[in-house]
Amino acid sequence: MPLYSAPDPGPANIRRLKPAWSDAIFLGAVVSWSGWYLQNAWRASPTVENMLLIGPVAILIFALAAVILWQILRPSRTAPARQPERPSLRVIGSMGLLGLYVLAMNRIGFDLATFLYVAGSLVLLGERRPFVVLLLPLGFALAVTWGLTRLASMPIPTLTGL
Amino acid sequence: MIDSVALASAVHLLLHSWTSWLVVVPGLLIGLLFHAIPGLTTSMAIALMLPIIPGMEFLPALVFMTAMYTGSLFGVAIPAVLLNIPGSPAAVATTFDGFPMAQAGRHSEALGHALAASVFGQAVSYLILLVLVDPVARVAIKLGPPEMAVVALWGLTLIASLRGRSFARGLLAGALGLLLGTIGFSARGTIRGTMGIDVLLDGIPVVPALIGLFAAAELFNLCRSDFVVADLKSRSVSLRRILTGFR
Repeated sequence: MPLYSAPDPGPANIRRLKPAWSDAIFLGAVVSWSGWYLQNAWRASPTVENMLLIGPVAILIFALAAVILWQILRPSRTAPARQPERPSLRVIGSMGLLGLYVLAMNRIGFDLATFLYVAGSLVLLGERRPFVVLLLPLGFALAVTWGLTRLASMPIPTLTGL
Repeated sequence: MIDSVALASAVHLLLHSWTSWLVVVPGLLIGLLFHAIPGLTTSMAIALMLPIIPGMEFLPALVFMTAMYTGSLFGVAIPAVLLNIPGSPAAVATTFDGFPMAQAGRHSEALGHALAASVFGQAVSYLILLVLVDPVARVAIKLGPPEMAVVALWGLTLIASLRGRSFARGLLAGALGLLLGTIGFSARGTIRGTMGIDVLLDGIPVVPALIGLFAAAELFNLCRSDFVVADLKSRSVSLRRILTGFR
């Protein structure tokens, strides 16, 4: 007698598909923000002129979210199963670097933050040549900083005082 | 009706001086280069050229700025095709077919197609504008709030049906975009959804939204692989294949 027997797969014409939980989470985020925005707009001014577009559109979003949630939880049995891609370390690292770059810009200067971001991205993506990892970000950061400050006259915080 | 006298004098002005046409190629290249970088706009390009433009005569300055604008209309297609990052909102549709072609190693043909569409589309649209600007203007003046609302609703349903996978999801995206578009000052001075951030008082700026939605998302996607085009032999850009795509 076998120690393990595979579960009965059921009738041959039915495939069980897992709900796309990532879609549900994103949908929850959309609904949450829409609800917050609706109450924010209502608190700002509960008048017809202010809520004429926001109210109906928010209600439409809630209704559509309910439909989509039903579609997510009860996926079509004839639809091809979608294979969600798992985020790689490269992707997560790139997201983290971009977040740090945005936060660091005003604190350590746009030029230094750009240099560190480009250098960090190169290392993350597998570049190991010191010449490339150091000089390319340096040249890029200086060129972009010079262009924004001297050509476009944008007031951005810099470490080098360009 | 077209003012034929004004048109004739304008044509005479353009054909009278060949030196005015010398700025066409530099203008095209500058516009193309600027818009090949996502986030840079025509207004930035003209702002950077401001030290030069006042020193030019009227006609060359006008031709130069027009050439910059015209070059930009193709320039936005370059990152759209090669990186799946549209250089402007107008190039979003170019990514639908252009980037898959680039991934298949047919980036040169895709650039050629985009160039042909830009050239012929602009030429035909300029001619149509020249001929029909008067009657179109008469109709446009009569458009009011109900007509604009219908156009907005039509655009919304168009967005919803664009991707085809799920009408509800497309409609949700359009509705969310509508809500995001109301952030900031309303017509009556009500501040909505700014979270105390001053930059949002005029609404979400287009360029940061473009960068965040398209460029950043595609940046993370591109990190998965070492190259956009997997096949080493297909990674070169061929002028011959661009011209093939143009034809």
